[in-house]
Amino acid sequence: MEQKFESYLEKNGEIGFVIKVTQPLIYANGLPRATLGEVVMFENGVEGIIFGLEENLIEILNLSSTAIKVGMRVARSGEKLKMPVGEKFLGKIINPLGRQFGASSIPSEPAIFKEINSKPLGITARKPVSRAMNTGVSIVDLLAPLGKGQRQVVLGDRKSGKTQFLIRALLSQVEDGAIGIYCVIGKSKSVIRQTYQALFETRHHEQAGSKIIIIASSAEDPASLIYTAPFAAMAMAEYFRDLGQDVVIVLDDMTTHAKVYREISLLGRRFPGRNLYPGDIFSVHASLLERAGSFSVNGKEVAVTCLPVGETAHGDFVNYIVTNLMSMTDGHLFFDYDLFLEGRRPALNPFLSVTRVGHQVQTPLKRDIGMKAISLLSFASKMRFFAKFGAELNESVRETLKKEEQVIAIFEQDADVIIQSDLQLILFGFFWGDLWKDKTQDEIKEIISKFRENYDSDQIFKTQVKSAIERSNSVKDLVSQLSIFEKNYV
Amino acid sequence: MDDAIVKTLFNKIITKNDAIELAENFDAVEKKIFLRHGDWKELLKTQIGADFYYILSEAADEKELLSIFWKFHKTIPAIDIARIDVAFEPTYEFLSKISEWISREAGHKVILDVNISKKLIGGLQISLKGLFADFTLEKKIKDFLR
Repeated sequence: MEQKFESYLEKNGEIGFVIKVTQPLIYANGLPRATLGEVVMFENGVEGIIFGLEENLIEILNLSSTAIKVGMRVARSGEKLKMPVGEKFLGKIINPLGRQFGASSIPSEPAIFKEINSKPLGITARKPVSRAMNTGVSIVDLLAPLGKGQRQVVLGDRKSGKTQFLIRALLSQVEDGAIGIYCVIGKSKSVIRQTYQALFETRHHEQAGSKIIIIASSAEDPASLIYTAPFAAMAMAEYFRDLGQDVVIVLDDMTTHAKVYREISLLGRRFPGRNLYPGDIFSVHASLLERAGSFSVNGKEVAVTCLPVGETAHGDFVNYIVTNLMSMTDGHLFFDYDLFLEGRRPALNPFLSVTRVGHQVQTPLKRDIGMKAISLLSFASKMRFFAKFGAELNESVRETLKKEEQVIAIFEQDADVIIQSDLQLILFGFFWGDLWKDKTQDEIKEIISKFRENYDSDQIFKTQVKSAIERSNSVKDLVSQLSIFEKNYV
Repeated sequence: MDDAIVKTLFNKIITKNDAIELAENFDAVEKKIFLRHGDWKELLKTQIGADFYYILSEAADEKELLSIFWKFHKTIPAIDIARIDVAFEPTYEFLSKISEWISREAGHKVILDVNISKKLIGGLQISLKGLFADFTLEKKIKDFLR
């Protein structure tokens, strides 16, 4: 490291001296040609990035927790912050600088280095979102669908089931051929371990795990490293995008990222804005999310689908950071803690979730199902509200409420269950055609489980499902195709 | 006349320690002058050292002396400081030559902040306003081995 420092000194012929330390910010003088975002090295080998420039004063963000002392020498590297990227990281968990995190070992083969803060691709390289992205979660795929290349915020209180959904969506996409990047921003080590286990150690997803990279920064890491994590994850995503591979990137979570950035900015005595966040918090997040989207790479459509997470408190999804995220993305999925407490899994609130581009990439059948399901749920919700007054309910209202129960049973999914898109449609067809009219919620769940098992193991059944869906353009068409399944599933 | 005297005074300052000492002495003069009922000459003579006083005393009268005093006093903190790292305890003559050479190269007066680092073996490293130059034996050996 000392040699590296000396070589930087020799290469650039510039030196600075630390004059003030307020971890993680270090102030130094000298380095007359320093530029923003440039990597610098202290004489003890610790790296930092230039975070601010004033007359005769440089603000450096220390990327390590190693102490820096006043009077230490600092040298410019002449380079922006880069991280190693490449296939060798697939199936691994790394820190935002591409180094080993925990016990995960990284092969020593050389890697390509990519700038962490690269410029987003321009409008000419972009394509409209045109392919559906299946998350494997019925309620999302049917009611608030996503497209490949969409940026969709996932909102919800703590422990409302966001992470389970994100893991399922990531695994589902990885099985579909995409590369998955899960960026953990400032979480506890136990949460990181759980995420690792869910992605890499689940029996069914062993193969999928080899196409996922976890970029993790724990709450114990220095604020600078936590701040860098989503940018590093995006750089990794861009590497695979440039190779022509679809990528799904989860940023869990951006609220913590904003808090860490606020901490750094306040230490740097930047002027505080709303809720004490720095004035450029929107710009920082927007420029990050701008790097996702649907692109044309060598004539091929390639998507970087971004799922940033926003944490709400007591269901308040109009807080500053969350509304910022909403306004820079293509919609949001709201996981309602009240629904979670009612026992709904996943606890997605379809009425408070928005998808701005997802519907345009759906097939006519899926769109029809989505519309019918949401109008039924909406009507049933009004009826339930009405029923609270103790009014006597007529037959049609009772039937609507029963239907609501059944549709909720169809959307009910355990945390590790992925339901294929075709199955989601067929199941809804059974419900809509009143073929399960007299079934209870438990009976419906049992049938769904049988359906899933057969779909995975029986090739003939799978083909029958696929052909029934291909022949249908509306729910009505689909219902008419279901007679072949009636014998076994009704 | 007073510019020439100020320049001569500047040339007498070689290191950062010289500048600090002189600035402290000037501060003391400023604080004690009321005790001497404005007798500047006597106070300067006892406070700032004979060599500096000898140069200052070349002033034509007390008015010019005061003008030089204030001018010099205010300029001391603004002098550029070059940090030099050397492997040995440098002599006054060595420092004087180095200061003169750096001032000539920089185009203005530069004083030295001297640090001793034995690992440099010989020669010196200079850092001035963020620019760095390495003239050490250590570097020469490293380059040779490379």
